[in-house]
Amino acid sequence: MPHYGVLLVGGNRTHQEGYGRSFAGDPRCKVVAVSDEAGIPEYRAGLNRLLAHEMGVPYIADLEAALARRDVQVVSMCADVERRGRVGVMCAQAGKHIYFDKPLAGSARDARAIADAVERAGVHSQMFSQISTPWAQAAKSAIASGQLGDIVGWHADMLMAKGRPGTAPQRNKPRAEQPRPERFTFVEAKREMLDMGVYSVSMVLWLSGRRASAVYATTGNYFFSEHAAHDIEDFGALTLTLDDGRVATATGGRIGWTSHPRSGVVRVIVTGARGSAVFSEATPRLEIYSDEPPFTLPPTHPWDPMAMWSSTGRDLGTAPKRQWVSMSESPQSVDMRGFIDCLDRDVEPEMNARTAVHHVEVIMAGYESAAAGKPVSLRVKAGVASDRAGRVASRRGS
Amino acid sequence: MESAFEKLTEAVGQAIADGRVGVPSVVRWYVRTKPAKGGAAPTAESMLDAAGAWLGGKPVAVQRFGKDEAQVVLHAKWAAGAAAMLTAASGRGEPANDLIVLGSRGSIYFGRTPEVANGT
Repeated sequence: MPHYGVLLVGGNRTHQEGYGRSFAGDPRCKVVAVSDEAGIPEYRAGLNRLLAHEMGVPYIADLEAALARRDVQVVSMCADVERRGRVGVMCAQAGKHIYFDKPLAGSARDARAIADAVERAGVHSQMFSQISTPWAQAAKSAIASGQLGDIVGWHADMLMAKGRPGTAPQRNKPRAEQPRPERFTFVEAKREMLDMGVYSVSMVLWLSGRRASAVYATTGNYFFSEHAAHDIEDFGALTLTLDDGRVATATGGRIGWTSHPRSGVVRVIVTGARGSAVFSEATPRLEIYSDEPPFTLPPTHPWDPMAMWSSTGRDLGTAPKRQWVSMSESPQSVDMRGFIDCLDRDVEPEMNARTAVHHVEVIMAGYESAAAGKPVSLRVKAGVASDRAGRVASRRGS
Repeated sequence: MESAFEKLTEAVGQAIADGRVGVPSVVRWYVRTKPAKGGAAPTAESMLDAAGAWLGGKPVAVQRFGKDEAQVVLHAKWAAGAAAMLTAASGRGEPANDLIVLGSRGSIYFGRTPEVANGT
């Protein structure tokens, strides 16, 4: 018997395509509706309605009304990154437990507003990440066991092998980064240091149990014309100096269909005094080589050239890569189930909104660093962090 | 006789010269060696030289992080925008060498790092 009514905020061509179905597949949950803010663009409202139709639930075009429903205990929140601060606060103020798409928000200020609202409301929250996956748990266990000795470094990658590569214009000088980007989401592409880099940043910080005190970053537009058209990066690399002086590195990017035998490089290398080890989404796997036709570049969907969404792949009939076969469950299902487990036990999830604030702070400092060409200090201590505008904001309620 | 490091450097350089991956833009490289004089620093310098050979000469900026005796990270940038993140570690345990070169049309991988299965 389901005992959590789940409201989905956001629809097709968001990660709600996966999260929503993961919630629907858990016998403890019942998806009751899809909703979003009133006044959103018609194309977004239409895509939201489409997911509601596919899942056989109503679409409620007024988020306040949807949040007032007494049969909603959980919100799965996939509003556009630029709206997440406002929508996340609304959901928390309504007293709902919240499962957040990554990243938590598009600015440190918005992220802190969400975490403050969640704490004031006394609800549980979790941001989707890779920490629930078997390979991440294996890394955590190996570190805790001491088999690698004292740990001196963590190096995580999230390089998504989708999109038609080789289309970025050749440059004679580096693309200039903006120190304080405000828009991250476009129909054709996203800023990848935030969108993909958040996986790697959250991974190294979770494994280290530390906070970053300084960030040095590089961004580039190496692969895709779609990113060039919006002057956004398709790759970012961050070196984090942690608050105990140790060093971690993280990459996030989109590298093209032809750059990997499966979905991309998703892993972490851990350096210890007694050894190093790589923990990867691709291990273990089957490798199958046969006389099947090789993978070929799929057609490009005009509304999703980076192949971000399963719905557009379904529309095109995109054939998957078949040589490397994963033996793991979808990370979304594993992560979502862990969130519901926490609700069942009334335990706060590890990757909660407050924890996820720091990931946004780190990546925003990364943009500032990439623009300036020098390390940027975070000066984060005891809940006080320099915000995106360079001011210092005290953590409310502490 | 060529060392394994030199063989790798040459093979990657040849793949790039042959145009196999388009324009090389990013080098992500992790090397672990047995404890040696100078710690990880000499290895890091060799890695930077190799990355320069692949990405177009000397970098215009190099930031150095970590401690010579355990782990050195070099984060380097080239004039046309290419980048490298090079990690050299020194210590007991199995040596490791894990390289990714990202090009505009494809990637080069070389991996010799102990993999830990996750129990799936």
